[in-house]
This record gives sequence, structure tokens and C-alpha cells, in this order.
Amino acid sequence: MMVSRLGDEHVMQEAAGATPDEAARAHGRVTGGEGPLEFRAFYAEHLRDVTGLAYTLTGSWHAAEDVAQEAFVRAYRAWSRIAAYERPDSWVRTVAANLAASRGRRLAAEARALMRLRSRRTDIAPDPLPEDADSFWAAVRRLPRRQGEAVALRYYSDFSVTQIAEAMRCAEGTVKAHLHSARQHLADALRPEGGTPR
Amino acid sequence: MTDPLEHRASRAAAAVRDRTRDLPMSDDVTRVRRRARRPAVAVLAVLLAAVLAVPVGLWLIGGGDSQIEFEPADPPVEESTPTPTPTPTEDVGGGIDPAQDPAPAQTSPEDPDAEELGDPEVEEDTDGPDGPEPVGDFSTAERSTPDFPYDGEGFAQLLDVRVASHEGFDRIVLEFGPDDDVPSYRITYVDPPVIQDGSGEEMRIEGAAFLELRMTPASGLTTETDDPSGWERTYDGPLRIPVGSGTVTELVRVDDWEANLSWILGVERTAPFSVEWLSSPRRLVVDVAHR
Repeated sequence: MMVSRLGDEHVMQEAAGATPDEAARAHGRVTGGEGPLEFRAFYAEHLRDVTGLAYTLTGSWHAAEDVAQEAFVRAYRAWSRIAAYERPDSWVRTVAANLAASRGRRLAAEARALMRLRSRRTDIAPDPLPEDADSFWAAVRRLPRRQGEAVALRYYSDFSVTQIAEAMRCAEGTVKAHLHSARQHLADALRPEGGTPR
Repeated sequence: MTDPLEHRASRAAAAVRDRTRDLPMSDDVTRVRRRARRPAVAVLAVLLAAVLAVPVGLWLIGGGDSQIEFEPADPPVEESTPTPTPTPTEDVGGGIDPAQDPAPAQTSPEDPDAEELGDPEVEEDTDGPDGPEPVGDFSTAERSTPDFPYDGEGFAQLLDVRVASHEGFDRIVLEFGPDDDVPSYRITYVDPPVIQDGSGEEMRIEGAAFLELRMTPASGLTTETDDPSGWERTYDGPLRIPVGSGTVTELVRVDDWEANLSWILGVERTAPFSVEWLSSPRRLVVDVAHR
């Protein structure tokens, strides 16, 4: 197939055996409004935070790492387009939240099973969260999928209602409804033992 | 922030962010590149096989020279009737509701520079928006406005997408609002995979070659609406338009995000195309040669 410009595949192969400079040029070949934005720098800047977002919805650092990797793989493959965006990181967060909410539970279960079979990669997991935070996210994960996704984007990634509506491709009113029911569910779930009903 | 639940949510978020600092992560992108490459290699292998199956003669005519001049099979016929626009069948979505896609919250203030992007001297065709004369010169080379991707003021609102088959070429028309600014654009063949926004999923598009039409700032959605959702589609047609016959096999909206609007044309092969911005009505016209 003849194409009128160098495809990503060629760029990647070149980059693999290229000097750091050449590789950087290859990855920075797409220019945004403010000059070249390298995928490498973008990845380094946002990887941890996107992994954290995925953790809130999966409850497993292994699954979160998997989800984050997959989100960045997808960003890499769409990089010629999204590099020019004002906030390419919002794109990745959106994809990560989507993946974590839809596949997170299965991935987390797989990760736990793997851990039981061979106790490797335990070094990846940081210290457990404080009980206060852990129980909050555990309650979020028990919410209906869309509600959990909205809560994670709102409270972990500080998305506005408008941004969540963009990310979840639904109306702002729907987001507000999701957040409202989520808050009610969470308030119920997190009510201290023996506490009085609202 | 007096709400104790909000307070607890903030603390819980801060705790996770804090733990991410302990993650022994490598900032090396090699893994991402390796994973990204895997599906692409498979697609390339299939395409390579397809190319090898094509007779050598056709290869030389069709794609041997990316700058090859296109000669219409016949001179344009006056009364060539366009085939009717194919019936849309399904929307693109992948679990996403396309009726409620996001749109950038932008308005369209006057932009004195934008007018220069297009060619105001372009002669309007007289046979209506889908007249039979191909626009511009045909080649497979990338075509773009010099300022692409333009990220300043101004906006073009997509109203309609049409496709029609003519003598010697297929015509795709993207029509914008009558007073809209001219978006910067880039039209080029791209390699698969085509990644959809929002889901990041790979999209299946009919065709062997993929001609990407990118416009910015442009969108098929608007926030200037009384609709309680805050969004309204200004282009309310299908987001996937299969084309029954012809060189162009399918039109798919892949992206409408932060004023970046992308449609991809599935094409039978890397066929020469021509591009022109016409101003009444304001529209981007892409003609794809049949051979």
C-alpha cells in the first residue's frame, strides 16, 4: 500500500534503533499549537496519575498498571491526532476510566489469581491505603458502573461536570444525576457502624 | 466543601495520589511502543498480502508514483446524474451514545485571518453542490492549509455530509454554516489502525486505504442550544455512511473532540484525490478518482 507519508509503524521501527535524538524527533513529529509534544514526555508526566485513577476503580495496583498501559497504548496509536489537543491527558484519563470501569473488576480478579499462583511482582504494590481512603474507594467500586466512573473522574481527576459529560459522552444533567445518586449510595455505605440514619 | 462526603472523597483521592509516588514505574515508553505495534504488524501483513495479489500493471498505474496525475476516464459529461446518497444504516458508537457526543464550548467570533485560508476566488460550480466537474488536481499527496492545526479564534459548524458518485470520481461534501470561518484542514492517507476517541478502541472501516479528513476548529456539535443536555448536534445525520458502490467504500466520523473534527473515508485503494474549499454554501469538497 502506498501512503503519502511515513506511517507510524515505520516511525516506531526507526525509533527502536535510533539515537535518542532521532527517536525524539520521530515521536515529536506531530506538532501542536505550542510546538512538538513528545509522546515520551507525555507518558512520563501522566503515567502515575493515570495509574492512580485506574486504581480507584479497580482496587488493584496490578490491574491499574495494566489499564494505564492499555490507555497509553491507545493514546500512542492515536497520537498523530491527539498530540494536537489542548489536553491530551484528558483523552487518556477518559480512556483509562472507561477501561477501568468496564474491565477493572475482571482484571483485578485476574491479578489476584495470578498473585496467588506465583507471588511475583509484589514489589509493585505500594503500602496499603489508610482505612478511611480504602473504604471510600471500595464503596465507589460497589456503585453502578457509570456512577463509579463519574465519581472517580470528579474526585480523583478533578474533572468538572462538563468535562465528565464530555468524557462519558452523556448530558451534563445525566452526570449530575449520577453524582447525586452516587453521593446517596456512598453516604449510606460509609455511615459508621451504629450511626443514626440521616 | 462543608459536605463531609466531599471532604472524605478529597482525602481518599489525595491518599491514592500519594501512593502513586511509590510506584516503581519506569518512564520508558518501550513497552507501550511494543504493545502498540503488535496489532499494527498484523494489519500490515494483511495489507501486504493484498498488495501482492494486485497485478503489477495496476500497481504501477494506481500507486507507483504518489504524485501521479489523474486522467479522467472520460471528459466530464454534462448530464451525468449523481447516484443517490446511500442509505445510512448504523451509527458509530462502540457503546457510546453518539447523539450526545461532547463538543468544545467554543463560539465563533469573527476572525479576519480565517478568510485567507480558503480561496475566495474559487469559481463556484454551477451545477449545484454536487456538480459533475472534479475540483482541483488529483494526486495521492497530502493536502493541507498552511496553518494546520490552527488553534486560534473562529469556528466551523458541520451541518451536512454528502457522498455521490460521478463520472470518473466519487465526491464527498462536508457542508458548514453559512457564516462560519474557514477551518484549517489536512487531508491525507493514514495507516491503520484508526483509533476512536472516548473509547480508544480500534475502529473497523471498510476499505483498503484510509483517507483522513481533519478540520480544526470545527465540530458537528454545539453548546449554543436550549436543550437541557447542553449539547446539540448540528449535523444530525449518521456517523457511519456505507457507500454501496464506487471507489469510496465508507465514511466514518472518528473524532469530534476539542474542536477537532475527523472523518475517515474508506477507499478501495490509495486513489488520487483532489480537495477544494468552496464558499457558497461553505463546504469542503473532496473528490476521489475512480482510477
